[in-house]
Amino acid sequence: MNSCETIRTQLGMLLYGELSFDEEEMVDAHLEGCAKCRAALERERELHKAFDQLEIEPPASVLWDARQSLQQRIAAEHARPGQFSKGSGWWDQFVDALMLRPAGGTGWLKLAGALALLTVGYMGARLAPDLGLGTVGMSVADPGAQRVRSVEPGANGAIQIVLDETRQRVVSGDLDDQNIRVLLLSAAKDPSDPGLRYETVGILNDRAQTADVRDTLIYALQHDENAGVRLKAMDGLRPFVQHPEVRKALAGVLLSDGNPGMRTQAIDLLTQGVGEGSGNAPGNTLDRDVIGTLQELMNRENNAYVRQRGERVLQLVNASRDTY
Amino acid sequence: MKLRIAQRMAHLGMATAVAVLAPLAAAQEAPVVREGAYWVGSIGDSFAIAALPLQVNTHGNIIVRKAAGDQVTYRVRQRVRAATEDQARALLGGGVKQVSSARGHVVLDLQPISAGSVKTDIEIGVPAQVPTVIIRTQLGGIDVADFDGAVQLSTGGGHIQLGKIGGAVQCFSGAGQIIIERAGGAVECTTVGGNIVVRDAGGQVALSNQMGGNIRVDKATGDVRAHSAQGMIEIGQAGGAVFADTQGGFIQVGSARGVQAESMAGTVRVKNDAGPMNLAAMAGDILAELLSGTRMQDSSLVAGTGDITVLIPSNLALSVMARNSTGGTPRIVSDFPEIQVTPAKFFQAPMIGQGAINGGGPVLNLNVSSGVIYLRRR
Repeated sequence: MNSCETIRTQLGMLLYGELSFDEEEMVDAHLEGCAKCRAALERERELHKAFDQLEIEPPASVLWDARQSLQQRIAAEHARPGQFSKGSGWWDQFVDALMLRPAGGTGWLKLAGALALLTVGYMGARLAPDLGLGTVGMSVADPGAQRVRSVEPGANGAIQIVLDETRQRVVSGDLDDQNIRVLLLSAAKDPSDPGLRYETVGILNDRAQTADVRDTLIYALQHDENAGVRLKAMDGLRPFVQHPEVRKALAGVLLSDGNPGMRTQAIDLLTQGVGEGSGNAPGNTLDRDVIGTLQELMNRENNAYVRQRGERVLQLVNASRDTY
Repeated sequence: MKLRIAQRMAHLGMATAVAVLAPLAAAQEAPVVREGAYWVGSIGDSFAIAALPLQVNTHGNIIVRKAAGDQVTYRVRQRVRAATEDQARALLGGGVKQVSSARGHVVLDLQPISAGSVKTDIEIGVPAQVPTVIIRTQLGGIDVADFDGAVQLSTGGGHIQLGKIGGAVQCFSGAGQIIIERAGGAVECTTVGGNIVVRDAGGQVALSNQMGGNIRVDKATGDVRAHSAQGMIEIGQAGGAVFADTQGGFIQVGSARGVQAESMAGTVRVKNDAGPMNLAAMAGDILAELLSGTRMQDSSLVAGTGDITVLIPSNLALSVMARNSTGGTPRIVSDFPEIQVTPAKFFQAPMIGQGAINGGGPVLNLNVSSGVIYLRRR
């Protein structure tokens, strides 16, 4: 016997049409004999109606945020050690493979899952009729994509169709516009297009005095896979080289960036001013963290120029090459 | 112990050198003076030179300037932090300077021998009759502010920055950015990693970035070749054809007389004045704008995952063959009624659009694997 408490947790899903056939049967059976739950269902229905009447203009960044979140989740899944997400039978593994869960399935099951998805997608697309929804005629200025979510025949022969649409929209404003800024900060991390990230970082470079922009540039400097984007981010951070978080990021570049051009610029920035002003005590111009970074650099650097620069700076500040 | 120069002109060992060069002045007992926390030692000298290429072999940062008269001047400035003058002299250590000649070049070797903590800056003044300056520095930046002749520059690591160079430029950096304001002749430069910027080149340009960095050429009168392992390529105006490829990043060409561009991941945007276009983007869009009066040649645009958009002037005559292999409902969107689009059918060939615009002409071949093809009138 299902308790009222269990049934009431399923009322929302019932109204969304998300229950399986068996679950729906079970809930209906319970509702027939339970007035309190029927009342609860009515209340739920009223609530849904109220929600439906609300027109919400979602912030323009919501798609970006969703994609960003998805990318992070995917990355996190990739980073997880290989365990099946549930069960251990071949079907569970196959389902995991179909769901593109990275840890799911053995090699052949992954392959089978990918092939099955490919086949279903290809056949589905081929078999799907051209619905004549005007997509073919869409112009560059108004491109979009749409998909039929559901169809429902009406009483008088009318058909109600629910469409999912992705539509391009132009938003404009200056960098002080919070909406624009949020979009730019998201675009700077868009993994799909290095050109977009480069141009976005170029725009953000003019506002690196603000902490959120600077954080984004630091993220690009440390994590962007494209050297061109990283170099652009470093340009923007150049005036803020005295900020501890920027120095820390540059130290990371110096130790771990595979591009010698990046490391060359990083050491230029980190050690600028050292050994320059004749009146200053040089030891005071370099913080202990940077000295530690340079000492670590001596153990791993294979580029002669970067190595020589590091060595010279350590000598200038009277620090040993190996220890601090 | 005083700073001294270990070798002099006396043992050049090459008869030709003596004929070409005035001997170097005797090694100087260079003064070492206190400047704040540092001791600074400088040596410098000059020698006459005929109208021959000058090659400088050294290590450290080097600055080249234009000099009046017929003398090559040089100055080596070394700076070190030390408690006493003797300690400073020990660290500065002296060095080697030698002038010789080889293969028609005058060769100036400046090899300061000093501790690693010594900062060495070298300044060379080159008179106008020298047609070419060749700099080989093991490590360090190279700056040439203004020189009428050609330059050939090489550093194991460090930036290369050039102002107004009258002739051709060849340069290589083991790591660091290259910036050229103006070159009167051809430019051929490579860096292992770092940005390359050429503002204005009076000839062909060939730039390569071996491990990543952005390439930008504002203006060149000849062909432009640009390769970046990973980074953006921007060509403003090329008098000749552009050949560009990058493993990751966009390629943008403002105007050119023919373009061949390949990007593994990134958009390709091209405006073409004349000549063929061969554009490929593995993951990214292609936007090609044909300019009015363009003398087109047969061209091919291929996008793996991405759209192709071609902007075609109303009066341009060309033949279009477009093929969209996208699964599902492929799209070819055309502003030209002359383009007949054959819808894709179940298990049949991809969507094909073809036709002759303004009576037909050079063939524009468009191929998309996953995306949309747009043919737009401009």
